[in-house]
Amino acid sequence: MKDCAVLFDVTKCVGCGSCTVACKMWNGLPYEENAHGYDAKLDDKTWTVVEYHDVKKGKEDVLRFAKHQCMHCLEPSCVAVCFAKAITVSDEGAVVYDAKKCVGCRYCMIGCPYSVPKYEWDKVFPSVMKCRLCAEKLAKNESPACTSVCPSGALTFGTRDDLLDEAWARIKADSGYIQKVYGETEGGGTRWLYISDVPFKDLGLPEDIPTKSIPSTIHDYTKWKPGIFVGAAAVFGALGLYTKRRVKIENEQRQGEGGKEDV
Amino acid sequence: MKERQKIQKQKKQPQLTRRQFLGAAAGVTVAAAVSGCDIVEEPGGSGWLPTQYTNEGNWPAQVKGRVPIDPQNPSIERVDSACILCGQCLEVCQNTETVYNYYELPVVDGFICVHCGQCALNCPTGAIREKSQIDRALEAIDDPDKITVATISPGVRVSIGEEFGMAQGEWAQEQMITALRELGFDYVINIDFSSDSTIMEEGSELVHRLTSGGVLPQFTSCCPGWVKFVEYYYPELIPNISSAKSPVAEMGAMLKTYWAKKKKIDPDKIVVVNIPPCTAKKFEMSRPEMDAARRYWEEHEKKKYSGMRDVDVILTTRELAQMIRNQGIDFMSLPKGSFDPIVSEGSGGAIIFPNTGGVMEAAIRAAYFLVSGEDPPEDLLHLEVLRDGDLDGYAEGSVDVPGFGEVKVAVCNGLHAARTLCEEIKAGKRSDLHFLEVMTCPGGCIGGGGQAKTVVPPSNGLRRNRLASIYKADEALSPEKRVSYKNDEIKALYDEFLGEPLSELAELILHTEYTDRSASLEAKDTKDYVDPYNGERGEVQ
Amino acid sequence: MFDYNLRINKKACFRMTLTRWILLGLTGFGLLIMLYRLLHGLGAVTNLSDEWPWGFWIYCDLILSALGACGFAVGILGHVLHIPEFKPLGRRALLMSFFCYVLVFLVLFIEIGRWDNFYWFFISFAWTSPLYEVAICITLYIILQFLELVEVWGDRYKRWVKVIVGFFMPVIVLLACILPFGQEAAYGAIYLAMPAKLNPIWYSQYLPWACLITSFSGGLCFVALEYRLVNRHYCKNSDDQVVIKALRIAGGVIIAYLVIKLIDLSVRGVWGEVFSGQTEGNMFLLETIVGFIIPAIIVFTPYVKRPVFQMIAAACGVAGILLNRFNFIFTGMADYAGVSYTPKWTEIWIVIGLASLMILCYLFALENLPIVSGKGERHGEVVSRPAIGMIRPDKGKRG
Repeated sequence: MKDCAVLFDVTKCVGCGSCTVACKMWNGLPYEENAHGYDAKLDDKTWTVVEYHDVKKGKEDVLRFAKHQCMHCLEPSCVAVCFAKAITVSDEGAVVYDAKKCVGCRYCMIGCPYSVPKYEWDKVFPSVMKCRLCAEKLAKNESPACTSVCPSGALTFGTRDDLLDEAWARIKADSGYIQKVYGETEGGGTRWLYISDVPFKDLGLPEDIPTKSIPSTIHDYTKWKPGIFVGAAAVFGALGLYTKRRVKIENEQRQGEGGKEDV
Repeated sequence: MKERQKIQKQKKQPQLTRRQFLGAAAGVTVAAAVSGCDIVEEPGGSGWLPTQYTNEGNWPAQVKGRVPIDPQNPSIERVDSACILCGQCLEVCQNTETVYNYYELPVVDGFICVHCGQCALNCPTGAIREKSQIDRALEAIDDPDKITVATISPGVRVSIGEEFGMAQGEWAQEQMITALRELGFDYVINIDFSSDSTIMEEGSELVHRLTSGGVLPQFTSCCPGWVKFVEYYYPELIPNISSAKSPVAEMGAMLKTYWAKKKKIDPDKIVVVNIPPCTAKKFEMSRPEMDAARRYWEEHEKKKYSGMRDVDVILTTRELAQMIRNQGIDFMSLPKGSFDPIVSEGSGGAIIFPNTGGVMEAAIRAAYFLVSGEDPPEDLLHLEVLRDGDLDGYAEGSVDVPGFGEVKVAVCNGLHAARTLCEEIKAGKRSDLHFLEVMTCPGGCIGGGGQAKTVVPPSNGLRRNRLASIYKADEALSPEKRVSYKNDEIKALYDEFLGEPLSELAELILHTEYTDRSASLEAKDTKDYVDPYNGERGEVQ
Repeated sequence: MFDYNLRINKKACFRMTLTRWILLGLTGFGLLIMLYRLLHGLGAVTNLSDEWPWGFWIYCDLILSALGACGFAVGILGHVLHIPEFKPLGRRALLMSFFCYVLVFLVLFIEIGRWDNFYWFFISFAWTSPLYEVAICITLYIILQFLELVEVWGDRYKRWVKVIVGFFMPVIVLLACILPFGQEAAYGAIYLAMPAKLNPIWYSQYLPWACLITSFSGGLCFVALEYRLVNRHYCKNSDDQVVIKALRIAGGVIIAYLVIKLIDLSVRGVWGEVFSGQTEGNMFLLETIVGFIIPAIIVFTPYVKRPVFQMIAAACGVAGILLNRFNFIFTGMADYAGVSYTPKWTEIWIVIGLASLMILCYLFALENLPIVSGKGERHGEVVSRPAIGMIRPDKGKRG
């Protein structure tokens, strides 16, 4: 299936954490205590977490669960900034990391607007660790591990277009939802889409991510570079020849006046 | 205690010395760098998932995922590393107990759980288990200032033996008493005593409701899971629940008042360790209103014991077995022990408490006497109709009581049946019912969430063995030993301390109140209940 | 040609003083820690974390690259624009720049997590990544500078080498004046990827160009500082005109930067952030006042004639670079990271060790290659006092 995506409906999540276990099972990751809970935190051994958030919904205090993992951007920042091309986008759209090519600059970690990639700090030859959207399962036409185990229907797997339609249909059908699909435009769009009845920033999703994708922001700079190199070469070459000649003439004039100087 | 330390020491794993590590690291690094071999594995995709998940897209499946468990849940916890997402916990929570998926999403402000522990009992890998209080028990035992009182709930004695190789349901009460003494408990007390006091209170309450036109049907209140279930889903039926506490809660309060006074023990030094077959007791123990003893001392004796709780520690059958094993006690070869007197005598009615229908049977024996003033006839001592022989979760019947007429009673085990009945009661269809007993766990407490995991998932065969063993113990007694109101120690309790059932003091120590929890969830309209997987619309059976 | 007369022997000579022994000791210590880091990974020697994947080492890379721009700035002024005052600064700026960049390269090598894989980026052709641009430009630039230094070496030791390399010199110089446009701007472009993380005071579409411009001025201030200090150390006369000219050009560039920054801040409307009284705003004001406004004021007032003010202006210009880079690596990112980061002692000592090594190499080159021109200045006198320790008096001259 091309153009894979997942819709996460915050209002349907019961916080069971099945997705975090499925992720660990499928990816052979060691278990730690931080996969779900109030202090859940992504790290090199935990690629997806279910965070608990005590949120104000209007006047009510409510408990909401937010699953976090790699957002699988349509135009991933990490892919653009990786200086060893170790991160690539698969045919299905999964953003996948290749440890064999990685040099370990960690630019992906700092360049990811969601700070998803994590590092194996305690290893001699560490890898960057993050959700891979179970790329090999996608290639076999299966759904990712986390979405396949969700008992409450909070995670829906499908193509991005279908899921966007589905998300907006749900929002239109129920006025309780926030009028926004998170991930539709963030950083040029992501493959993980969120809909919620409480503000996204209360769920740990950054709301200040510009619509323009980071790769295109960088490209706006990079695109000038060849011109600048060529232009600078031409200008400097010409200037160099011109000023050299001018200095030579000046020196000759000065020599004519009797001075004797090195250039 | 020394042996315990030894065991802990043995568990410590051997550590790599720094020198070994340095050498190995350097060697591996240099060798790898020189040879250029792959020292880094590709992360991810190397694992496994149960086959029901290897399918396309959002394939519908009957069994998916697992139940949500609050990390703060006082009764149960889950170890993620052992969970295999088999879905058994969800199965039992949703279909047997009708808790999961019977509330609307999004959740309101917390996890919905009645603490029954059936998920733990059904978990094939032991990922879900009771939240252990073994450490608290050991701490109290090791503290020379504390007087530890172990109280044994009736369901445990037909299950604990299974942990040590006995036959299913084999009676192991006497060995258990000895084991508890060897573990270092100062007193071993039988909860059967407070089961009888519960019957006296609950039976009196029923008689009161029957004769003075109170809210009917009366619900039993022994099962904390059931009580919380009503508080969640049927707050309008809370007045139906008997205000009598469960035997465990009553025992805690009585030990720290009546018993402490009789034994001349400072109640603050008493640590009540209850051993039920139940995980929900851990929740019940933590309910804020369960401090009747503290209130008694404050109101009647002007003594302040701040923070004193009626029950201090709850150990499930499995935890007790674990303690016995840890201590290296050979359970099978233990001599028989006996309970400490004053609050340990129990009638046959109390013995059958852990069976489905047992509370009802015991209550009928007592109510018969309370209404008619006569001993119940022989056939009332064996109410086969209420014993739910096919274990389908529901039984009902009626008893003719002289002086009142026909008393109609029903028995539910498993909340699925209880929910159906509650819907009917809510709809006004069951005004004929007078008394309803509900046990959250299938088969009653003998199939409790804290019982030995002899068969996973627990089978009806196992439940029948345990039920039979309990009934056998009751039937072995002479008829006057099988009714609560002829319990000598109970008589002494009322003569010396409480006065009479439903007296002011009895209300303080043996009765409680309930909390409306319906704001924590938005109950699904079960008429419109749609199974999320097969999409069928229909009523709960 | 100038008279590069710091040493006259053809035999290499390097006299060890106490300071140099200490530097050697530091080098050894630093190299030991570096070995430890290579064998035990980043976690063992750094306080870097998932919140702060980049820390002190990246900071060192950025400031060293910015200061290393001295070679590029002097190169453009001296060899492209042929401003006569900058000719004598050419080789010293080249030497400093070279060792700055070698240090950058070494720090980058320990900084990357997979040093066994370090060669990979040479063949990855990841043009979309600013970091790739940095890496490839630095690598090429170091090669070019090495060739230039080979020519300098040949100048004294092997004339035919000088002749051969000298043949390619115009191309090498031209390339060396263009390449830094790549890495200096790309260092800023790295931070273009953090629109939601970097404080808006610094985050701007123009960050790469601001980095390029400030590295130019910072490099000039750095070379002015070096010119004064080294000449005094080796008892050479400094030509005020050279320093003033360098500082004035730096001042002009700084004013250009300030104007751009002013417009940028106004257009994006972040003056509120600047004067909010928060750490970020205050640090920005500190950076701007100390690093840019003070040197700009000094160099365009008569104070610039006094050596002590020249030194202050140059030092402030360098501090401006240090503060500016510090701010957008640490200050501007701290709010997002949420946790604090303090470099571990090993992180710092590795850099100190490697820097000591570079200083020793620099001194060795300074004393054995025709770098420092004694007569140098157009109107200056040759001073031939006995120098401190390692310098011999001027005995003879080579053409």
